[in-house]
Amino acid sequence: MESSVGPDAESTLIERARREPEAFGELYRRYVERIYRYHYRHVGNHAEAEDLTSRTFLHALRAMPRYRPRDGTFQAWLFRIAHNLLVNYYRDQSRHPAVELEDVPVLAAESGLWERLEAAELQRRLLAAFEQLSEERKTLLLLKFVEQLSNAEIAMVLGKTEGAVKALYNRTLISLRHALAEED
Amino acid sequence: MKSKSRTKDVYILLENTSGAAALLPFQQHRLEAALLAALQSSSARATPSSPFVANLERELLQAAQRRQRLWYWLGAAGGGVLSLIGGVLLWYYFWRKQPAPSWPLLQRRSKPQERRAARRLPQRSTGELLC
Repeated sequence: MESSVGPDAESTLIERARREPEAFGELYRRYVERIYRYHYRHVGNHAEAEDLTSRTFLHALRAMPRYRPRDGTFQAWLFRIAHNLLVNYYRDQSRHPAVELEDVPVLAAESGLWERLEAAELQRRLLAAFEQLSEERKTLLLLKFVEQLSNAEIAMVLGKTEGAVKALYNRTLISLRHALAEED
Repeated sequence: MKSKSRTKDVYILLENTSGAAALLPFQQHRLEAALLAALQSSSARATPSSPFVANLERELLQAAQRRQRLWYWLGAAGGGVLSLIGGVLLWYYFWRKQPAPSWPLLQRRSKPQERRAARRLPQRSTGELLC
């Protein structure tokens, strides 16, 4: 479920959520799938992803009175909570399961068979190279390509400046390119 | 690539440590398009189960209501304590500002009360007082 309402409607909802539990429920319904997907993409396990998702929203509920819109968008704030919990999770558990490669994408049907196979092979290699990246770089790519966050929002989630995020993004693309080139 | 500069007899070798070459715009565009397709399609199946979503929503709603009740009672208790302190402070302020005889009860003593008070004082003769 993606958030499809304008920023004004959302800011009204956020204001209401400080006082009304039902309004927080509405915010929850808007973001639960995205937060869950973010956790699942990192931990690769439904049970852990569910646990981290619950904790993210319980933290958000407790911290709601402290949220200030001028510090960043609500989704960036929520993803920051999710990211911090994920960092703690890795620190505490010292485990890092890779997402299985059964998730090879389904390609558009209009492509030719050969093109589809080539694209599938490229995507498989790309996902394999992606799994070798550091957590921070993976987070950056997931927030950018899956969650469609802006550089400013990603900077808030990762606790960096926007310039640092852009530099990290460029370095990540270069390292991915190198990893693909090495396989050839 | 290594470059060297000379200061008198000492040669200093400066390592050129520039990072890997940046991607050309069309390379970056292709890589980004491939990443977008790969990550979006691999994440599409990662959806939470409906019972989990419903249960968590119920838990959050209960937690939010508990917090609201807690804040309500804390607010009521805090308000009560503050108004009590305010009342005591106001009473103290006016009590200090007004001189003691201005209390109406003290001013309006009845005659029998005055007589009783006079009787309670020790009776001394003029001689005793002069000594």
